[in-house]
Amino acid sequence: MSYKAGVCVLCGTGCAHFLRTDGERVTGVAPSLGHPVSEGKLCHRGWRSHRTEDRERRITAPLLRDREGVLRPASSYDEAISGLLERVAELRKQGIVPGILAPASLSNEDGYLLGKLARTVLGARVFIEGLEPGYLESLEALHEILGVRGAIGRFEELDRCACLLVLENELARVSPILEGKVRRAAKRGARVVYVSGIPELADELRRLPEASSVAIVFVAEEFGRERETVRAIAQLAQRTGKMGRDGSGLFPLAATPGNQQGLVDMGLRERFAGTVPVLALGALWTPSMEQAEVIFPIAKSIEAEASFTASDRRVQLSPAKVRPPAGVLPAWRLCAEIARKAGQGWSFEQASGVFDELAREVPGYSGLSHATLARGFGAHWQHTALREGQTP
Amino acid sequence: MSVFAVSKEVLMTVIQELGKTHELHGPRVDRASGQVFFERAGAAEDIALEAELPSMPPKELFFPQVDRLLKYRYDSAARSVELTRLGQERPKALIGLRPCDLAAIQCLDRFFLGQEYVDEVYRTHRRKSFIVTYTCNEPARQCFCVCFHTGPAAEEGFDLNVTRLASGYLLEAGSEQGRALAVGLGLRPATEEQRMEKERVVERSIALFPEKATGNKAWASRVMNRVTTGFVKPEVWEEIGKKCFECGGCSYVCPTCSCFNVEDACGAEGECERLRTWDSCSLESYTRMAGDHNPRKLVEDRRNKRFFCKLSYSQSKKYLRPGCVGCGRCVWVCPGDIGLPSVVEQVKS
Repeated sequence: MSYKAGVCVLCGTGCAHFLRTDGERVTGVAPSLGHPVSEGKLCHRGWRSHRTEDRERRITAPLLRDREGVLRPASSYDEAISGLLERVAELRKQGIVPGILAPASLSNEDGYLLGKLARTVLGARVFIEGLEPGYLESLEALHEILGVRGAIGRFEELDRCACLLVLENELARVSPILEGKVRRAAKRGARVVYVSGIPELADELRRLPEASSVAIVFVAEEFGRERETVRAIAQLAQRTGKMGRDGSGLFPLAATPGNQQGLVDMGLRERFAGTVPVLALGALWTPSMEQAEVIFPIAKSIEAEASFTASDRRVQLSPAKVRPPAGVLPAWRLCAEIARKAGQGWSFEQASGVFDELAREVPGYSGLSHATLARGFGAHWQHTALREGQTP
Repeated sequence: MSVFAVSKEVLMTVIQELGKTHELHGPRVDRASGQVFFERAGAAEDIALEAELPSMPPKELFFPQVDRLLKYRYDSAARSVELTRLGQERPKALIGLRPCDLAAIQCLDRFFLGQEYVDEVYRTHRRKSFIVTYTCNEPARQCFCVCFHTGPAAEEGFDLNVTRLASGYLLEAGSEQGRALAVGLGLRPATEEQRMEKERVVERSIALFPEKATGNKAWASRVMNRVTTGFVKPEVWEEIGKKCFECGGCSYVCPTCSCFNVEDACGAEGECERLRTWDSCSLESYTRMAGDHNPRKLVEDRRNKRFFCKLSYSQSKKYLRPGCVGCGRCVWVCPGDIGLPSVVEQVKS
């Protein structure tokens, strides 16, 4: 088949699609008719997800800064990795914690192994360029109140809920797919309320507990910066007494591209704020990479089998559609190579092996594997409280 | 019309024979999801003739989502351009094309080939193609082809048309090359009873359509009249416009939509490709001009334009049939639930 199933990571909705390839390049996109969230639909970004080639910015070989301070192509991966380990050792001798810059497009496997490499091998900090500050803040606020760094419930709850609370009508711009669900809910008779701030939320507090089910959706980009608002939303959700029940849920939505929820789950919560990195990873060149000592190209999400996590905690597997350019590795494999060169006995051969380890280590991912994710349309990671059927 | 009766095995032989001279394309089912795509088939057995309507329109074969027209590299020192043009292709055989999709290809033929300027790129893809249509024994939930007279059985424009009978298949030759292939293989002519059975298959299929499609023959034509004469209140278009998310999906999956853009994609080495890509008149950028002037700035004006393209008589005059063929794919993909049937209902009400 020239159409291959995959997952769109251009926002946190987690729509499924098919990408058409001619064996070497992606040449088309189609919606996935059976997906429980996107239901055969794509938004304006999704319909262009086959147009992300960007040959001008593509990095295909490692770059190493020489003693004169000039970035030049390394003669081999070996030379670049040795150079990286030397620079890291120098920095640490000076008492400086090295920084690693990586893009938000990393998969769960990439993020997990990069975090492990930074912690256990390089003693470095990872900064994610493109990690949405609003989403991060929102998740922290939810964690503070509800004990969950993620949504409660699944996006499919929107198809069943009796009362829907949408914070500001940014949803139509960010996720037409979810806004479409909201409008269909109104059409089938659900009560749909758009609110813009804390005073209106307080008003709703009186009405919501009467509804048989309640779903609250907000775009984190807009509200995340105001932690107080997100705290108020979380408290409101808590007081409805319906969270975790059928047709109910609380959904922060990541608006910007990337595996936002997945990388937060993998513990990569530091966003890039101009710190000079020693190592930069990426498939496409960005100006922030310019100051790094070593730059490694990595495969794009369509070039490697990997999993991604949507804003409602749905973990989905996306198989490789095309091969990466010659010699370019997925980030997880590159991390394993660096660790090996540093004398660690990491023996990951497949992305599924990395996932097996992260499923043991990352809270909520227990019981998931590439084999389980390949059946149907993935699975949601479970929060302990939800697993026990309790309201957090 | 020459009509033959064949068994499944003989039908496979016909397709295999076509495979000797043509690239085979037909419906194929993605095993994991069950979704159907009209795809290149390695062998006759790969084609799922009875699969549902393909989720993406077969127009992709002649008018791809991304079509690489040519490659070029500009040498600024020598002031010369090195050009590589699109090559010739092996002719394609489309096996199991549904009648609505055939009607759509006829629309595209008239748009790309039947006007003052002939589109050479389309002609290259379309060259010597052989079309085998497949009668729909029953409609899918979203189908409304009977309202636009495109199905459930093809009437013209095919080389061969296949209809599944209680026992075996009826094969009708619609062109000289179709007849030559059938005669060359020594196919057995159909009996009168087998021809009659096909009529009954079609009648039964029509009876399975929803009441709105069969009960009221004016379901679509009355709305076409209103759209053509401008007898639709602006508030109706505004209401429809408000529901549109401007994703462009309706145009992309529409088998008759032919909007495109031409753009150059360049690599770091200076090598560029000229691409023709699908576009949509529903998108704001489609009619935006230099200086940011846009004659269709408002979303309702663009929705209005698209449905005018599907339903007005002026389009019918140009392409000899309405711009909608009743496949219903726009119903599947629209996040705002304004697929064409919903628009027809809103205009009527």
